[in-house]
This record gives sequence, C-alpha cells and structure tokens, in this order.
Amino acid sequence: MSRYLSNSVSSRSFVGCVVLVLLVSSFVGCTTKAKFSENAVYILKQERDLNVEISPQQRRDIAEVLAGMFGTPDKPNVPKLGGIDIANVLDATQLHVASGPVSSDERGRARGLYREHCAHCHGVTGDGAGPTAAFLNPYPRDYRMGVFKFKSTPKAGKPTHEDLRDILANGIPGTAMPSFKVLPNNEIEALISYVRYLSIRGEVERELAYLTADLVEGERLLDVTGSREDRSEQAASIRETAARVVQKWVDAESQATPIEAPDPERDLVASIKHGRELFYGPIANCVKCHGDSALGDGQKTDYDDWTKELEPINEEALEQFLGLGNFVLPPRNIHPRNLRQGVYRGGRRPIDLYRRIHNGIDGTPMPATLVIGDDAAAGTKGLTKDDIWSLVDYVRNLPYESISLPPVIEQGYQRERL
Amino acid sequence: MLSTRNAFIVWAACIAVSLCGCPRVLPPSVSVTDDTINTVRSALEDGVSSEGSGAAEVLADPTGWATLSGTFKINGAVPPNPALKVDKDTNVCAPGGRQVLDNVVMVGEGGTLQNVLIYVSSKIPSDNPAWIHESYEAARDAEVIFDQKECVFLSRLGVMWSTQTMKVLNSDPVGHNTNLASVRGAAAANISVPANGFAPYVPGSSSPSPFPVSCSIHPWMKASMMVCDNPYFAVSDASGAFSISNVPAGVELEFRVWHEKAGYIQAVTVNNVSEKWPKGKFTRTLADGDGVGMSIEIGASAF
Repeated sequence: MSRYLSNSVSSRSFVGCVVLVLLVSSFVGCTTKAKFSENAVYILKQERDLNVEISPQQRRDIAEVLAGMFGTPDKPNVPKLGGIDIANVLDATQLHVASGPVSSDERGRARGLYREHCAHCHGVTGDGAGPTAAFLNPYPRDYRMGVFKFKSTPKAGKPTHEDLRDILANGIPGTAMPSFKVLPNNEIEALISYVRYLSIRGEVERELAYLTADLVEGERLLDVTGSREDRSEQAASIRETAARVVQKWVDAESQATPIEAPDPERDLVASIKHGRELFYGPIANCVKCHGDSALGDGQKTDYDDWTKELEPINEEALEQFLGLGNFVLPPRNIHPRNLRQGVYRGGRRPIDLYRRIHNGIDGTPMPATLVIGDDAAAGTKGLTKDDIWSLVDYVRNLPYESISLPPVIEQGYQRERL
Repeated sequence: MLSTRNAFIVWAACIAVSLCGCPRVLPPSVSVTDDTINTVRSALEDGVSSEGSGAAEVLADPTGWATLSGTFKINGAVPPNPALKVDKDTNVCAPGGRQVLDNVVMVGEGGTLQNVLIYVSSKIPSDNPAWIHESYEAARDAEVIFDQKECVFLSRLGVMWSTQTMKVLNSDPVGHNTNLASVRGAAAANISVPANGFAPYVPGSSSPSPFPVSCSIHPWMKASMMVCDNPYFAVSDASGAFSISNVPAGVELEFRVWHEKAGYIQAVTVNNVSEKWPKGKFTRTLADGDGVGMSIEIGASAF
C-alpha cells in the first residue's frame, strides 16, 4: 500500500513538475544577450548617396570594429585612441554601473541603470527606437547622430556635462522625458557617461559607414588577417576617425556661450515692447515660423535633421527607408514652439530662452541669431545682446498677453507698474 | 447569450491576440563573439603609443601647370524639374503669382548641363607654393558671395576654398535663415539672415563631399555647398562649360565630379570614349603647359 501510494505521488509530482517547467519556460522564454543593433538607416543612406552597395561582409566589419572599440551592452569598453584624453569624457567605472542587465550587488549598489531607466524609450543602442518609442510624440532622441538640442554650446557643439545633467535632472517639459532628480548623484553621473558613450559609439558607427562607402573596391575597413602594415594603417585611420568624434566632446566643456545677465533695473515694459517689435520685424524674423499669434503655426511643413535622413519629401526614398522595418518610425513634421503655452522644452529660465535664441536649436530649423556688438556701425543688421534679452522678456510675457487684444494688455502692464 | 463553446472561442482568440500582439521588427544586429572582439581590439590598439610618428606620404612636387577644361552634356531626356509649392511671402517669392520651378537640373541647348561640380580630390599640401599656383594667392583669403533673391539661392551650387570666408547675402525684403548642413569637416551653421542684410560664414576646414543648404522659413529653397581644401575646382556654367586653370602638372591627380540630383557621376563618355568613374572619381596626369579639353557626356538615366 505504502509503495503504491509513493509511486502514485511521485508520478503525479512528475507530471506537476513538467507542467510547471513548461509554464515557467513559456513565460520566461529564452533569454538572449542584449545586442547593439546596426544603423540600417544610415547604411542605406550611404548606399543611396554614393550609389554603392555595402556588402554583408562590410557590415560585419563595421560591427566588429565597433565591438572591438566599444564592447557590448553588457561589457562596454573605453577605446584607447592615443593622444586624446578620453577618460575625461568616458569613465569606465561609470559605464560599468550604467550598463548590463538591471541588477544590484550584495551591497545594494545598482547596475544596469540605462536599461532600467532609459532603454525602453531610447533603445539599448540609443537609437531612439525602444519598444515605447512609436507611441510617443515627440519620438525619443536617437543619440547616434551626436546632435543634441538643449545645450549651452553653439551650433554643432556637443552638450557639456552640465547640459546633460540639467536634462536628466529636469526632464524635458512637454515631452515624455521625465525628471530623474530622485536618483542619487552617482547614478545620474553614470547615466551621463553612458549617454555620451552611446552617442560617441553611434557617431563613430556613422563615420565608419561613411568610410566604408568610400572604400575602393576590394579594400576593407579592417582586415585582421591582413599584413601587419595594412592592418596598422587601417587601425590608425579608424582611431583617427573615432578621435575626431571624441575630441568634439572634450572641446564642448570650454565652448559654452558666455552670457551676461541683463540689467535688472531695465524698464521691463519698454523691453517687452522692443522685444515685440523684434519678434515681428525683418531682422529676427521670429514671426515667420512661430506665427502671427506666436501659436507656433507659421511653418508646419519642415522636418528635424533626424527625420530628414529618411528624405521624407522623396516618396521613393521614404518607402525604401520605411521598408527596413517598423523600427524606422514614420516621419512627422517638426512644429515651431507654441509660445503662448509657457512650456519650454529646453527649460524656462531666462538664461535657457536666451541660449535658444542666441545659438538656435541644433537638429531643428530654429536658426542662431546674427549677433552684432553694441558698437557696430549704424545700419548694421543683426541683434545686440540687449535685443536678445528683450526678445526673452517678450517671449516670457507672451503666455500672459491676450491674443486678440495685445495693446490693451500693454496698457494693463503700465497700470500695474503705476 | 453566447453558448459556452462560443464564449470559449472568443476568450481563446482574445488571449491569443494579447499574447502575440503586433510584431515589432527589430533593427538588424550582428553577433560578435568575445574572441573576435579581442582580436579586433588588439589590432586596433596595436601601435596606439606610436601615434603621430608615422611619416606623412611624401609627394613628388609638380613639374608645372596645366589647364583642364571641358563641357558637361546630358545624353537623352531628363524628367522636367518639379514645380515648387510657394506658400509664404508670395509677393516676394513668386511675384505676380508665377509658378516657380525647382532649378535642380539646368539643361541648356543641346543638352548642356549646368551646375556640375568638378574638383581635385587628391590631398594637396595647400600651404606649399609648389602646389598652389601664384594666381590663386589673391583668392586664398577672399570673401565669396552666396546670395539669395526672390527666395531662390542664386548659386544652386556654392563652392569655396576652406581658407576663404563666405558672405551669405539676403537680397530680399523678407528675412531668410541659411542652414548650411555640413556633417563632416566644414562648420555647420544655421544663421538667420536679416532682410537685405548678410551673415558671415567661416567654414574653418574642408568638407569631404557637398552638403545641402536650405532655408527653414521657406523650405522649398534648396542649394548645395562644397568646401574644398584646394583652389582647384569649377562649376559648369549655363553652357555646360568648366575650366580649372593652373592645375599642378606632372603628378597624378584625382578628380571628382558631382551633381546635386545625380550625385557622384559614375558613368560617362569622355571625348566619345566611355569611362567608369567609381564614386565620381577619375585620375589624370597633366603635362606642363597642357590644355586638356574634356567633352563629357552623362547618360540621362543618372538623373
């Protein structure tokens, strides 16, 4: 009896085990290692631009060179480039903390911060095509172009450490980008490092694709089986390419546009009035895009630089790019900011608005101001720094100005001041 | 209402849909093994410390100067240029409501092709007087003009030497902003240019290939810009003709030929002999005092 019982129990528990294993495995699935994906859009762009085909072998070469330099999502690497202080830009310890799967060690120190906080929107590769990306407007940033909008440096300059910190700490109002102020300082630092890492890696990838498209037939980006001489020549050219990208990040730290504070005693009413004239005038030209009522409706058919890569106005090209797969998100027009709402993506402080007007916004149609000195000869066209501050005053006043009756509001202002 | 069986089918369908969802295509990726990573890494790090010691390739100095000239022609019919949608500042940009055509392919009588860029793409020591003819010295620091009128860039293809500066003019009574979208080398700029005003552009260094120029206020405005690291370049005129004088002779030079619509020109006939120019490149060694004429025909299919 007891034997029979034990038999039946064990056979039942065996079936139970099998069912459990099946259930668990169906939910867990097979875990695959996180991988960096290829910039298929940019490769196609090179093929189209140069009328060449980048072969599977050449694509593999690019991927291998990138992996050799930058490692994998679980094991990032800071490349040795020689003659450049890369450690100032990429800190190996911080990259380790930000990379890898989400976990913590026995002392409770977090790892995998990027995948915990960022990857669902920005993607493991930093391509702005994470699983949630298609549902967001605006789409999450693709770091790989190396272009950042909200920063203190002039056109084509990289953001400073402080700029990235501001974005992570404050988020981007009006978008899905939240504030990460609750994270401890060292974790924010690790994420800054990792965003730079992904951006540098992505930009180097683009440069390698460009180099590859330009190769003479039969030449390889890097042939590890080739002669030592060939190899070291190839390696040197790759290092040089990467160093050029990294150097821009090194330079950024000293490139922030210097800003002098406006006179705190200035006549605010007069400044707003002057700003309004500039807004509608033919020198600053704000009205052309931001619209007659500053509702951001003056120019709604343009695209940002990321979208322009898909050649959205060329139907045949666009179809080809979208045909790569639905990780290529359908193009959307970029709209000028509606200045009546008082929501400013790059920050609402006067200094933030000043920077946007002075330097323009990289990657977008927003141009930089033509700045002239206070001592410029009469008749020289452009804006002085005080003019820009007046524009800032006017823009900051816009949400409070009536759309239908602006002059009345101006009078109202004067009453208040009395 | 539903029988148990039907309810079951509906439930099963719901669960199946929720589990499968719509497939998200992931971008392609290449698996790289740890071994490969290590091999590639050591190949890349080999010689890092000796950086900069590699002697630059020593070029034999040119033996004289030559002139390269010729014409570009299209062989066959090209599709007409599209009409532009001018929907802003129409009194300035399309006076009298006239239709404005994109001027990207400018074909003259007999198929002559305007706005083809030809430039020397060999790396030339541009500080060395043996390589830069004295006739170019005045141009070295010159200011070149890039103008726009009636919302059209007057040069569809701007080209300059990297040592030069550019004055971006606005000859319209409305404001423009000139977006010089350089990605490599030459500085990128997006400057607002006041009505009837100008803005300076300093490229700083050369660009490896032409880049687009646009205006965000009037998005139909398009042009291209090339910043060369030597003064040996030309753009074909309305009759398709180009000429580069005092080109270094006695050395093999690589030239490159580009057009905004066709990109790098790859297949041509030169003086009735067909040639393949991979990625728009061809090489020539000109003799001192030579005047080489090239009558270049490009198949219409490139456009």
